[in-house]
Amino acid sequence: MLKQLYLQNFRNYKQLEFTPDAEYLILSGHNGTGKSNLLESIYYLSTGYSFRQARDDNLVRFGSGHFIIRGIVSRAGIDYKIEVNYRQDQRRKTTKINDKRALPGDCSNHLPVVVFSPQDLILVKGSPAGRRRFLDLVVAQVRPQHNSDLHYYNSVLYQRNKQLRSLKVSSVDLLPWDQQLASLGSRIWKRRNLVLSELLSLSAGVFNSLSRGRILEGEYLSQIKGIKPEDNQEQYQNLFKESLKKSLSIDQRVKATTVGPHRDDFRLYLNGRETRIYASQGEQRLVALALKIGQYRLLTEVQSLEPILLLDDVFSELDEKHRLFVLEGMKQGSQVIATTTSSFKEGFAQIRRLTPEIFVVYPKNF
Amino acid sequence: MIGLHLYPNPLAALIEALKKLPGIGPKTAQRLAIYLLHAPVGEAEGLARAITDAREKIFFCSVCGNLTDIDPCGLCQDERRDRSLLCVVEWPRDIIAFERTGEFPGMYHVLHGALSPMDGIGPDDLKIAELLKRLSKGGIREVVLATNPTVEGEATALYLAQLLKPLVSNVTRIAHGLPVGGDLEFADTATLSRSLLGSHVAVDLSLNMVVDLGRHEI
Ligand SMILES: Nc1ncnc2c1ncn2[C@@H]1O[C@H](COP(=O)(O)OP(=O)(O)O)[C@@H](O)[C@H]1O
Ligand SMILES: [Mg+2]
Ligand SMILES: [Zn+2]
Repeated sequence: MLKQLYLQNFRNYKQLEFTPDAEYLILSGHNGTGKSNLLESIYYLSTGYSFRQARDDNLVRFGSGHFIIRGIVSRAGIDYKIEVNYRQDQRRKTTKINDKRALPGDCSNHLPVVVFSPQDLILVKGSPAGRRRFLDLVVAQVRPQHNSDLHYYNSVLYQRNKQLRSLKVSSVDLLPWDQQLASLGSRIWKRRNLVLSELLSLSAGVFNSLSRGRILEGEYLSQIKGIKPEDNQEQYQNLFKESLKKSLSIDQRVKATTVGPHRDDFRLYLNGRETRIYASQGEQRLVALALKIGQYRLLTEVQSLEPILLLDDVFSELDEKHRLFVLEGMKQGSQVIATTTSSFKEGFAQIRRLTPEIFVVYPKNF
Repeated sequence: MIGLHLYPNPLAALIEALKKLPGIGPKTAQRLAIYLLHAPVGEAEGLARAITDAREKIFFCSVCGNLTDIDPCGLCQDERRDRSLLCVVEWPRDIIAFERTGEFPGMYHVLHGALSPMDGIGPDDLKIAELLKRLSKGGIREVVLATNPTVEGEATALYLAQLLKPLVSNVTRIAHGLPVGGDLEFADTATLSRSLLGSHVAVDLSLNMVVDLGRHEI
């Protein structure tokens, strides 16, 4: 649970102190007043990136050169201080947990977030990168080691791509990097497969009840030919190293590593047909919702975590029935922060002013 | 630099020089410069002399690459050390970290860096030829690869392991208890001595080393 949030120069906030002292609260205000920005900061504090596909530089308040997001979160009764500090001139972000240096995204386990927003549609319609990011977040939330493996994998990848750029590259030069890619990559691949199958079975159940019995399925798509999800890491490593060798001439030509888990994806099927291609907009939205609820269930029911739910404008997007479905989760003690442009009458609930334009509404009967 | 002309030239030059030191920003540089101006004459002169002295008298050991004022260095000359055991590190400061543990009985070899394509550092930029020369003289039974647990240190160890395998009967890698992304320099003494004691596992090239050991959790 998030107990305190402090923002400095994040988006439109020069300075903000926010104490979400309730399990359930709604941020109410007109369009463009900074409600989504606030949710975005919480998400960023947890994951190290924006859920709105914004780059770090976009998050720095216009005219300023840095931003700070700081939070006090409590997990299993223990308080943690977590902080992200981004400096635009150095393009450097520093993440700290209890004042100790951590990797960006290391907080995704201390403050697990599930966001519901109009952007969720990209999970179904968008590029593989968006789906990978979502899957990696869910994996990191339940297996914290995943975040550092991804971090080191990306560092190795960066070095390998630099090596490919040098004039004469031999497989001897690439071996130390390939070896590490294979080792880290096999763990990334294995965890993704394990978590995806758990996630899909939960999401399929959700989808089934949301859609009167229709069937949602999915599969992990590995770049490595011949690998099956049930294979072990060693098999994956061997095939991965083989693929790296085979693609060497292509890699040299494009000066990038063209095989590996950094190019993987997963595919979804609705009643046996690929959702991205055949499903209607409404169905796609429902599939995205089922994935998010599946994530939520995985965190709460399987892992007994207490994620914070960020609901950005979903009230306007969803019809009554699906709204109820999303809100069901709150009864299990998770913290929920929602945004809406609707205004609330005094007396309906307790209302407090957060900024000149945003009100915090504490609904009474929740 | 705005504000720099506020200082008389010699002082500005001193501040600029101090600012070039690692970990020293403009504010600290100013504070140090002002301090040196107010300190007793002897103190400032002593510092200047210490710097030129060190620069004149300290050089790299022709055998191991460690910092020294005699050649070969004290460690290389020490008859009590085990000459059949060689520990390969990135920097002279890593030797200091190991020596603090008092657990390592062998000799050292300093590479002066690690492989890093992004910085343009390849095998030829490291003291690898010197290492091979030492090994060709014979008598070395085991090489412990103690490069940092970073992806660059790991790559260097993998590269060397492959290169040294035909030359040395035993190539091992220290790993236990060191966090990936860490620096030997910052590893505490207990961790290092644990890793040295636990290091005597032959390296299997088909397995990744640091990033794998102790991190098999899936
Ligand atoms: N980097 C930034 N610096 C300052 N203001 C920003 C920045 N990025 C976005 N904004 C402002 O934030 C507002 C949008 O906030 P948002 O949270 O999306 O609104 P809403 O309340 O509708 O969710 C816009 O007015 C935009 O100009
Ligand atoms: Mg909004
Ligand atoms: Zn020496």
